[in-house]
Amino acid sequence: MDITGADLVRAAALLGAGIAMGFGAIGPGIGEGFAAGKACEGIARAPEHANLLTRTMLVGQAVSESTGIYALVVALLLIFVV
Amino acid sequence: MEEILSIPHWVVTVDGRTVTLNAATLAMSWLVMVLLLVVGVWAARRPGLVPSPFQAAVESVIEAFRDLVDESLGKLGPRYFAFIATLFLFILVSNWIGVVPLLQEPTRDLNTTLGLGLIGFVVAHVTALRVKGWKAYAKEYFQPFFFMFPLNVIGELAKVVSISFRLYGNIMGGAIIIAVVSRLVHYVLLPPFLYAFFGLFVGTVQAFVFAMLTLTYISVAIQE
Amino acid sequence: MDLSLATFAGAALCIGLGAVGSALGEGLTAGRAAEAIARQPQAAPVILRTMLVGQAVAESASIFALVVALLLLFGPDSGPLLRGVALFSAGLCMGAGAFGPGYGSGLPSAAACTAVGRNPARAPRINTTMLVSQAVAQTPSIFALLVAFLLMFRSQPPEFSLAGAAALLGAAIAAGVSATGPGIGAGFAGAAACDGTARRPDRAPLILRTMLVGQAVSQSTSVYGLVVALVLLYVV
Repeated sequence: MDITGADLVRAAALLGAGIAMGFGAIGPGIGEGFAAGKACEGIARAPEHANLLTRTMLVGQAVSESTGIYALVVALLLIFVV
Repeated sequence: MEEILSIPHWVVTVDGRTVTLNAATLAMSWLVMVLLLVVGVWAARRPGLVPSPFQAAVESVIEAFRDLVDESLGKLGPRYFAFIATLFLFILVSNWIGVVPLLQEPTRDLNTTLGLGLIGFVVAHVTALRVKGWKAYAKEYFQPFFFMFPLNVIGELAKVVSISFRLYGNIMGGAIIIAVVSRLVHYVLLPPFLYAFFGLFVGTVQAFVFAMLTLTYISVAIQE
Repeated sequence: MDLSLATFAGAALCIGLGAVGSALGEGLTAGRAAEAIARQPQAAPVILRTMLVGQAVAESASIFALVVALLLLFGPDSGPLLRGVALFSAGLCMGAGAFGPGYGSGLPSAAACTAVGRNPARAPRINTTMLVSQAVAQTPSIFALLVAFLLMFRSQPPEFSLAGAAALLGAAIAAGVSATGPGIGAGFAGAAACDGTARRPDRAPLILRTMLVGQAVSQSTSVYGLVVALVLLYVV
């Protein structure tokens, strides 16, 4: 079995895609969970502001999700472009 | 074991082009729709001021959803209530139907969940265009900087992917666990509990999550 | 060729990694339950019930890992090299994927034990919130299980290729490791919701709804992990 440089690059790109998405998902997952937890706490304390709290939570989560989306983009680029 | 992962389908050739029909998914989707129709007609058959227990149960589900939709969408609520409630009921019955022997969940097929996700996506974006006008709508894609445009587009598309793969992964994963563990224990004792947890409980939670997320996407799209 | 090295290593990684999270979560739950009982000895039966139910659900992630490990141990022991890589990857995927959800679903049950101790009359409500949040926190481990089964049961081409092996390993890492964050995050949300339900039982439905939406959104990154894994398995 002979392995050429191109094979090596392709293999590294595919493995890299898995690593990018796998580890890239950890931070956003925990961070968005924090936001959701704080929103629940807030609603228990001030139920009359539930709509505002939910909206704030969703906006905050959308922003912290962006790093997860970057990871997805990098993974897909590694698979389909490299 | 491989047969759990595959979905029975027919391949039809029309004018030299091949079309794949997922027979089980199609049949099961129609079965779910018929079931929902029958239940709906049955519940509304003789509406009385003092409702029968069955009518009361159906009414309480529908009413809870109306309050929910009104709360998140405000004056646009009545227009979208039927859509959200239908999504919930269709997915709920779809997830539950796998508990019956010989039947399988249409939501086990990615095509079903992706279709449902796309419907929600189109509704959310058409609503946003209507409410905000195309200028304000387009402007949002260039926030906070103009070069974020491609990432914002991918972010929107990722919503469809995440909502549909979440449902598919849960239902398919549950079906696989039930099949494999049942075989490992030779169908003794455990399967009813597995069906109760993955079929009924997780199925209900995921149907609700799907409907709530679609509602959330619509309400986020029409803000500001 | 003989694949027992791959299956044994995969099974060891699977249950070795997969047991950690659930054990941590269940230990946390037991500790909180002991604290709550010390504070409110007359509520001990209610607290104990919450603890046992919560631990049983938190255990399910490690039970998935056990199932995969057993299938690897008693599964095929010969085949092409790529099949060995796939079997090892399946073990890695399920092992890594069980950690976060196992620990994450221990957080709501720990919070629920404290909450039930504080407000034993509302135990049914709190238990409902706990069970729903745990079920959602388990979702990433179900994704990891799905990918592990795909890795185990799909037939692999007979000739070895480096890219093929990398795709299998990459799929395992994408689906397995990506479950960690969302699992723990969903646990945070569930814990706060259980606490809130004990404080304001009248607002339980509202809190439950917010929790579900928050958890579902925080889980999308694990769904991306599943998508990348499926692309690596089916498209590449």
